[in-house]
Amino acid sequence: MKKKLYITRGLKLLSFGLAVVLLTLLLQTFLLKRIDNNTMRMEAFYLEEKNTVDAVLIGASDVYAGYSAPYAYEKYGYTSYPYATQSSPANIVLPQIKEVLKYQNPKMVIVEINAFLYRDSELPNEASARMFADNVPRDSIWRDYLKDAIPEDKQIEYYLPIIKYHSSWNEYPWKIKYLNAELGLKQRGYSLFRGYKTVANEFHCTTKIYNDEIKDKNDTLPLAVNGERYLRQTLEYLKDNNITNVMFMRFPHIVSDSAYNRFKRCNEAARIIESYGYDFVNLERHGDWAGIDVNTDYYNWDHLNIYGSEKVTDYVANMLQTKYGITKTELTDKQVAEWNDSVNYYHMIYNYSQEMIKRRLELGKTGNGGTTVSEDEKSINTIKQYARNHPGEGKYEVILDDEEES
Amino acid sequence: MTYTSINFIFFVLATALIYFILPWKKYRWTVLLAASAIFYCLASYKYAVFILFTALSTLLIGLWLDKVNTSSKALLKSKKGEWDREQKKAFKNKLKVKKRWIMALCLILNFGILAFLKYYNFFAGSLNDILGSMRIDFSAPTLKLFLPLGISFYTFQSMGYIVDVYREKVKPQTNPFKFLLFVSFFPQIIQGPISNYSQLGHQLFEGHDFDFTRFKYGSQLILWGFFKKLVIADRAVVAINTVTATAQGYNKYSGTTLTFTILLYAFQLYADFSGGIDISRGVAQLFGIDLIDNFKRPYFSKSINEYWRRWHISLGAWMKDYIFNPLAISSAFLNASKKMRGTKFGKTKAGAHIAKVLPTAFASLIVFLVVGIWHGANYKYVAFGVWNGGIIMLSILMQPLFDAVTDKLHINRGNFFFRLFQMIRTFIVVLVGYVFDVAPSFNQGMMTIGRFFTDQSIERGRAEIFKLGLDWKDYVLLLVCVVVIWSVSMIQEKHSDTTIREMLDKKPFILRWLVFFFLIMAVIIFGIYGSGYAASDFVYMQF
Repeated sequence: MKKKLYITRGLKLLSFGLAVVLLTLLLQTFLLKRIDNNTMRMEAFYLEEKNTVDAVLIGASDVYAGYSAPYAYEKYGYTSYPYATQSSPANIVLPQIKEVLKYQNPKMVIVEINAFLYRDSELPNEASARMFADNVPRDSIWRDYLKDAIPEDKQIEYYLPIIKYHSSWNEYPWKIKYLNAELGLKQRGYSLFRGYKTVANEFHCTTKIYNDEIKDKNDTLPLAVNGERYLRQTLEYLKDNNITNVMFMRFPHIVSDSAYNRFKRCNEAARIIESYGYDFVNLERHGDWAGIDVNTDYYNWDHLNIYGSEKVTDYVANMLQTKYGITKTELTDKQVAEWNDSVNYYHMIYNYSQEMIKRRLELGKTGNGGTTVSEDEKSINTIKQYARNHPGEGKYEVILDDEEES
Repeated sequence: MTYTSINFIFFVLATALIYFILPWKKYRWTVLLAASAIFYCLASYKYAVFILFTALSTLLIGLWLDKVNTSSKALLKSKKGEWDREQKKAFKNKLKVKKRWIMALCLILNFGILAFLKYYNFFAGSLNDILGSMRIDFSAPTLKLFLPLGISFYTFQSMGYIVDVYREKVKPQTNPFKFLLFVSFFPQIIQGPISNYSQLGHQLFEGHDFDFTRFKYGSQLILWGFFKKLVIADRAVVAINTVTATAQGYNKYSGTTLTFTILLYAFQLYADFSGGIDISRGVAQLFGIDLIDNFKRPYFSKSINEYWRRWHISLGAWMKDYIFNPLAISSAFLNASKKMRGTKFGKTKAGAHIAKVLPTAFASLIVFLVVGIWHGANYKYVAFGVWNGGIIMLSILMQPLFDAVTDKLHINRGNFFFRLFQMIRTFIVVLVGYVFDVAPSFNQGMMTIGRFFTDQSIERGRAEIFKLGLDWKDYVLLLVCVVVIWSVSMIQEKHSDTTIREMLDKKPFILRWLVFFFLIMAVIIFGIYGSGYAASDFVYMQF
């Protein structure tokens, strides 16, 4: 009798505990988590079919704002992806390279070196690291990263992110725009924007800048301790494992007084990279190689707008094809249709952003600011709405999914 | 390791597991002692020497008192036929004085440590102010002093024990380890409740068997405590801390915001303290130990006197047993009362009443002065004590007048609206006392009270309230929590002979589990925990 009572109680408790655990896991997986354009970009990378991405660009926001994979696909025919998160820190670059090489077999991996250029005093915070760590598969690379970068007592919050993000209930209903977009992404199986994000603005700087004067400047400043440590660690890993399909780049930035030391650190980083035998291209110094115009091609100090990103994409594509021999990939009809869908969306982004920039210029707004366009529900609806209202402006009208809209 | 951390949950579960699987029931208390020692050392190992000193000194002096008692009784017995009444009386008086001195030694030693660590800088500062104003060139140095964890609580508990031994209400504990457990029992070390030895001692030392129902009730009480602390108190404290962050910043807030802050504080303090006590009682209950309840819906009180019987009950009981009663029946107070009765005024109706209640009234004032100072070394706490004690003293002295007015107005004392009026009136009096808790200083407390009347602006208040670190969603959540706590309190008030847990136990299985399920999910989702949030200490931990 007593035994039966114990068994019943045990089963009841077990089922209660299971229900609590299950609901907690559901909440942490779908509702109570960090979700923004970085989440979408990282998740979408893992939705790309294995070994279908020809080139991957690793870096921070300057990469996903300065390079358009759909545009490259449309114009040059190869597939690519910006595996980039906002303010990504130096210690995630190597895990990012490992991730990319584990889940894809790209012909070239381009590493934008922004992560190595931070001073020790301005190292990106936990949120920046989490944009990577929260959104990648819980594999051995991820576990190694935690061991290396996260204090032991904090690691539990990565295994059980609800400890960190339970308070994100407060972000609703604002967050629904990403939640719906994420559900759409998972259902669809591919990203509409292929990681691209922009801000519709044409930034005119009003202070002294040095972009025209630095083309021949080779003065250097030492990297921060952590910056150099992780850069060398990355290079040594690449060299030790004989990984040759990796090159390094510096994307264009406006070099002002406050960014001048960063430019010098960039020169130092270039010296280190080249000493390991890897290629390095500095478009911050040689913006003219890509035809960058500081007066029209930025949306703020560090990020290119739609005009600038097309120029850099052209430059990167030409470089990949002429110097590294990257050619068009054979894709299935389904994959082609999916990429074409992204091209369609890119046109909508471009036309909408162009119009917004025009309007801002008419209003004399040339400082920081502008309309953000990322793969969230609000942006998607806005650009679609704009496309519907301006059917003659781009190629998108032929591919617009009218059924969905109705 | 705070009571609301995951580590503490695992710590308690591990302790419970070891406690219940230990085959020798009579030694199970050693598990509690080991757990208490680990808990204390993890939190404050550098200051463990203070608690050890208190435990040891109290134990030894308790044994000394007992020895004096035993030997004097033996002597009295042996001299039964020899001594006359006068000799016996003289001996007893001498014995009483001796025992008092022994007890006083213990009190001075231990309260001395507490007073030094807690109040030295306060008194040094005050002394310097006075000497400065008299242009005397002397400055008492201020020292960098730290308060050992739980010092107020374990000192009061230990001193209660020594007084009980002195009064021969309890037999002294002879085992130093058992006594150390009584002083340091980990669920109550941070903020009480302050237990007396006769209630807690035997429970700690007898080995308890695992009891599913007790374990279940204990877990439920812990869960309720977590809800109050993590969801309510630690959320509300964000706004309160923003207002009180700096003395200068505090002055800039409108009277409306300050009123709102005091109201929020009333809610936060209750959730924080009672939540912490629920956790303490719940943890103790897991081991089969009942700690006394420290709260009885205090905001439903109809008088300030009643409020203090419902709020921090264990401290109130301690004060009553060890300060109020000895004072109220002290010869000085009784003589003063007697003298007044002999005067012309004492012969009047009012005078007779005042003479009669004078010892009680003054004892109350002194008790609350002590309570105020116990809260902290600051004049604002003195004001807090004087306010509460003064109101109680006045209410005792003027009771006949209040009764007469009530009768004159033909007010039915049982009427719902009259009782509601009494509750609201008491709550307002309590809130005024809280002003001195919240305000950074006594002067700012007085300023706040002034602002209640002179600086009310809904527009400014609305603008300021949403800049205190909480948004409208947090406030809505807090409002929902107020309704939940109020509803639960109403049920408890109506069914004071039982507990909500026992009542729930009689409900259908699905309903029962849904309640606990939602409570757990509420803590997980709405609780303030994890990195990015500095876990707030329990408010009473600082006292």
